[in-house]
Amino acid sequence: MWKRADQFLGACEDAVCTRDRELLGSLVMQAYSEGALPEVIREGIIGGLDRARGGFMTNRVSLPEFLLTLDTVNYGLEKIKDLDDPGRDEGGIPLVIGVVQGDPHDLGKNIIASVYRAYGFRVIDLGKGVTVEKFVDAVRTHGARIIALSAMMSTTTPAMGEVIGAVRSRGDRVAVMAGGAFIDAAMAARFGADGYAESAVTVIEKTREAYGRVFGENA
Amino acid sequence: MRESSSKCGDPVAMVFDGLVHGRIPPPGLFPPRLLDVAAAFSHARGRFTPLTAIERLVTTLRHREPDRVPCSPLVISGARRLTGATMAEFATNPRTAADALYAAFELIGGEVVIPMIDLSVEAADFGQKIIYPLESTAHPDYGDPLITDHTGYRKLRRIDLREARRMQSVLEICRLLVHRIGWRGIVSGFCFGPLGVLCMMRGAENLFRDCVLYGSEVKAALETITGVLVEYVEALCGTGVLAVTLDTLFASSNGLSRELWEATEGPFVRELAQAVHRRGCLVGVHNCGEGIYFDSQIRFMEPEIISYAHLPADCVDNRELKRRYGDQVVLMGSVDTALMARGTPHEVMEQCRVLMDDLADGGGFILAPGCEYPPNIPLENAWALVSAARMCGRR
Repeated sequence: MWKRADQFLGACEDAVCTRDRELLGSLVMQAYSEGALPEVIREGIIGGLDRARGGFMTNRVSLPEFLLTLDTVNYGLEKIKDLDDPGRDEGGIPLVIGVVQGDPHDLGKNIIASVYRAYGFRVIDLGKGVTVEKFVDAVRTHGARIIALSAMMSTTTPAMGEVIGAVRSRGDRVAVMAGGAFIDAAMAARFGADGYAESAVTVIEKTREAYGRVFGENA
Repeated sequence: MRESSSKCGDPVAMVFDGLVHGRIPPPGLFPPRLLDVAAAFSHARGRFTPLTAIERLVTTLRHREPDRVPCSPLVISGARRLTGATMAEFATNPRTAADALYAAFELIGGEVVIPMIDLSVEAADFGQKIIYPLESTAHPDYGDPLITDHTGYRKLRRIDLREARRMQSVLEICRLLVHRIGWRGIVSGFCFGPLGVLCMMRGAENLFRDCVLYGSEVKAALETITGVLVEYVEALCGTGVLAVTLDTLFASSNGLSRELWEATEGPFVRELAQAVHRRGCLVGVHNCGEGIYFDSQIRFMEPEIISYAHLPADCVDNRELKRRYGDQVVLMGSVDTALMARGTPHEVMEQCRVLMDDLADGGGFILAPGCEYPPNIPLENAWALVSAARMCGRR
């Protein structure tokens, strides 16, 4: 047993940062068997992801390494869920994410969806090439409070504006995040988005800021 | 430009052959000193009279200042707007593409034409299913990748270039453009790097993981692909193009780490670059990723030109880029394509002016967007770029 909680948290973070699934799995199992709360175990895993995001920002962690880190994080979180209550619904703020119509590039969206999931959002992933109607319907069907839009091509980026326009015209109260290769904060604002995130490094903080502005509460 | 013409086979015969066919002979066939003399002469003459496109390019390639900065608006699939073709027609009909690209050369201007039709050309010929949208860029059917798991890399089979429909189509486009443009500009062939081709057949997300987890399998596929691409770049050189541009997107922080790229794709793109240099043509590198590894790419490919969109990680601004790499390669770029898409012509011209102030002194600079001109927007900002080179490009 760990003498101090921070020893366990440090071990979890290290396992995430070294992308060692087996080690992380055994740490989770051990902590659970010793009565640690799922929230504490989760904190250790997210601490590792925080470190990896910092490394990604400074190029100490490459994109392939970051992807494998996310795989490790997801493995650890699934393990917690299995041990805790496999049948329980995911909690968290409902968030719809997708790549706009005509755009087949979903690498960025997949990374962002994984990061959102890890930080406790309830992610409804609509995939790629998503029509305006599908986005709009998903907001109502799932009671989404956040939409995250991605586009990676100059030809498809304007579709973000169409989605945002359709959501606004229906009067749904929802925070809209935009990101992608061909967009920046100014363009996102011009489309009517509530926030813009450049990458997985900043997406959680930017989303929380946008959510706070729209709903007046913390995400 | 390479400092040796010995690796070009029989340079005299190749120069003669080019001239007989009305084509510009590959620059690598000429003794470097002769090119330096020509550049010095053009540099002097350019102070008083306008140079021809070829004089301008040779001068800048030898790192002397020409009469003004040469440029390329990189209007590629956007050129179809000038001839009324759809994106699908542009991607699948070589004559349609050549007509459009030639129209862009005539109507917009610039000295360098790169028929980078789309990034699916090579993968399509390996058997990857491709989707050709009417009004957007052709792309692989990502739901139906040719390589479905890591065991698929070793199953990839070499193809016969003669039966490679899309690569043959690009070869035809190059032949047509070289013939039509003649001595009024240079045409560069374009070849997606082997890792990029593999990405089109496996999907980026899976390929990134596999490069770390199954490196030897990935390299087996890269070897197969490179074998075909070497033939392809040699065939491109045979069309009369003066350069071949290799796209090495993954040599950037958007792709692999420097170490992983050097161990994975580096040796294979070296083979491609050597094949181009053996034919006397110039090697261009295009990389529109962020934080690109200039030094690694120079070491592996010894390119004459690097076309870039973002600064490398070891440079804080364009002036440092020029100081650090300006004597090793010709820099080509790097007008922001997002600005091209949403900025005014005035804003584009202003950015062009700043770039030329930072990079054009001493030659060795070609003004261009950081990547292809966005295909579905009006062309006025392409004209703005070319106008900026003409109006503000005098040193």
